[in-house]
Amino acid sequence: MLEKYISKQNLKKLLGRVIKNSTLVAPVRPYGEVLFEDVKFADSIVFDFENALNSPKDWVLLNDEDLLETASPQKKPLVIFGARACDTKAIGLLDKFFARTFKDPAYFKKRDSILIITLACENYGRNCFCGSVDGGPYLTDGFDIQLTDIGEGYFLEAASKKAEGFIKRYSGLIKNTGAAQKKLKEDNIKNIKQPEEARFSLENVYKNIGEEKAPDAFWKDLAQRCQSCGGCLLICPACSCFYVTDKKISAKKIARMRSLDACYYEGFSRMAGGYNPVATRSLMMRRKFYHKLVQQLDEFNQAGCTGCGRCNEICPGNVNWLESIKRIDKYV
Amino acid sequence: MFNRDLYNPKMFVIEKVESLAPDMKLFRILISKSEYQPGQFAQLSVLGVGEVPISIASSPTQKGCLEFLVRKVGKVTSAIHALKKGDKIGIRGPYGNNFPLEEAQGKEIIFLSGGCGLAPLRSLIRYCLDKRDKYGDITILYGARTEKEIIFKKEIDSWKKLPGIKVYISLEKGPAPGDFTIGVVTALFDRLRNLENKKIFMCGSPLMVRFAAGGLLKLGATNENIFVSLERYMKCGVGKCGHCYVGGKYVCTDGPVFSYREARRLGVEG
Repeated sequence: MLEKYISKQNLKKLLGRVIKNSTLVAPVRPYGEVLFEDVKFADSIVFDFENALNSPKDWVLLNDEDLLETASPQKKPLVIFGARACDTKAIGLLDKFFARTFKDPAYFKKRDSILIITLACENYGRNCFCGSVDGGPYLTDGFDIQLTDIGEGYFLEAASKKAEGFIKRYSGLIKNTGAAQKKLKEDNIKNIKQPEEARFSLENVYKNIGEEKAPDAFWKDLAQRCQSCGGCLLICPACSCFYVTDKKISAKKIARMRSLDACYYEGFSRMAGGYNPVATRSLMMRRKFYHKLVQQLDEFNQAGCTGCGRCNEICPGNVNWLESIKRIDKYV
Repeated sequence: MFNRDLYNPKMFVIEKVESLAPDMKLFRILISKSEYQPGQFAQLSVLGVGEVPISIASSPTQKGCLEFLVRKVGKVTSAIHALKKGDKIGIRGPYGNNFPLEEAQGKEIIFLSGGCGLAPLRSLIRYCLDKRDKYGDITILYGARTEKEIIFKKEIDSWKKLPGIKVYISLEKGPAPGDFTIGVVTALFDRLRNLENKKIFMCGSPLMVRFAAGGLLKLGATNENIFVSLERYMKCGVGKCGHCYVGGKYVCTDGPVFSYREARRLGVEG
């Protein structure tokens, strides 16, 4: 782990230079709400935000990605600035997922050229519950670069080879740090308190889902409110299910496009003959809860949810993932 | 592996197309090495249309060829049905686990299938026939809708002539000439005796699997001795797209062959 310091002024300068050398994705506020976007001017980047409406997953797992294309599409490296701990953690899960069983070449040819600068949180946002799922508000490992606000600048930690190269490249703007700044950082993160309403025991939830403690009525209640719009899954930084469609690009070229899919869509498991093993919404919901809160914990020692809360914000039926998990937590 | 890059299918020339039933065709492809096991599947693709997971119907003991039984049910399978001898087809694979070949050694074996579910079992049947001294007596129960829809008919007739093999066929709809039984495959269950130590391999519609497994358990079979090959909607075949995920397992990489105990635990009985 490399520890450094960068002043707020220098960070802006650095991001300005990144724009010249790489593609930069960063949070901007184009019309009131904060979004991750491709950024052309460092001045448009926002630093005071809870989290963006979309997640940086949009640049890691592309919609309409040609699986037959083996050449690398990205000429410039991509830098994602301002990912919150939960989003970086979720991308870390995607990395593990796309390396399991078979390494996914389409995913990694892009991913390998992406550097993520995480901006540790100073407090909990209105939808956040990362503390309950070990998703944040700051990271102890699994990041490239993490910045923690310590007043006039940021305490900078670099934890990957990619990050070390990046720091060398911008060494003129990044300074050495000392014990006093490190203490400031540690005091800062110590002061972050998770609100009571965002708390649950992941251990209990894991156990209760595994043992099917929640009654059928619970799943029916959720199913009744779900509209199968798939919004929660498409926006989830840790969701990666996809479908594939062939597309004729020209007389000679055929593309096999991968696009995001959602396991709440009714046709998700339906086979050509019409049989659907997961045909009801309550079965679909059980599948999602089990996958994220039991199976992924078993396989990756990490939940398939990092507590960003975007799904709660986007749901038109107010199914509310967090409240549902809290209900599961309480079943004995 | 038939393909070097994970998602890029390798193109093969179709050596033979055989129509086995009104909507079922057998496609044969020549390969240099039979690097697969009975029970595995491959992704077949027609570029521009799409890809489908199809179980391998041939046995690795048949050197130099791969066979796939394709039932015409959707867009991609219709496009595959339009292919002729000499046309190219894309293949990725082999994927998935296989039938427990060693566990079945020295045991009496029962094969149970309905419709095109005979195809993945045929791989294992031929495997057992080619290594005859390693396996005990074989009983094949097979249910088809009508006589016309019986697949691998000539082969079944040749199996019947071999020692230690019994084949029983049920037809849902008559007429049923000869020794066919009218009914679904469970109508043949009175032929089964003492199932305790026998290995049972099964593939068919979810409904068939559920009813047949129930019947087998009543006849003394154990959950551990029944193996079922599951069919699921899949896009990638390699544990990524998520479509075949049921009960915490990916049918493509953890399956498609599950013991019935495991299948029940997953809630995916058929």
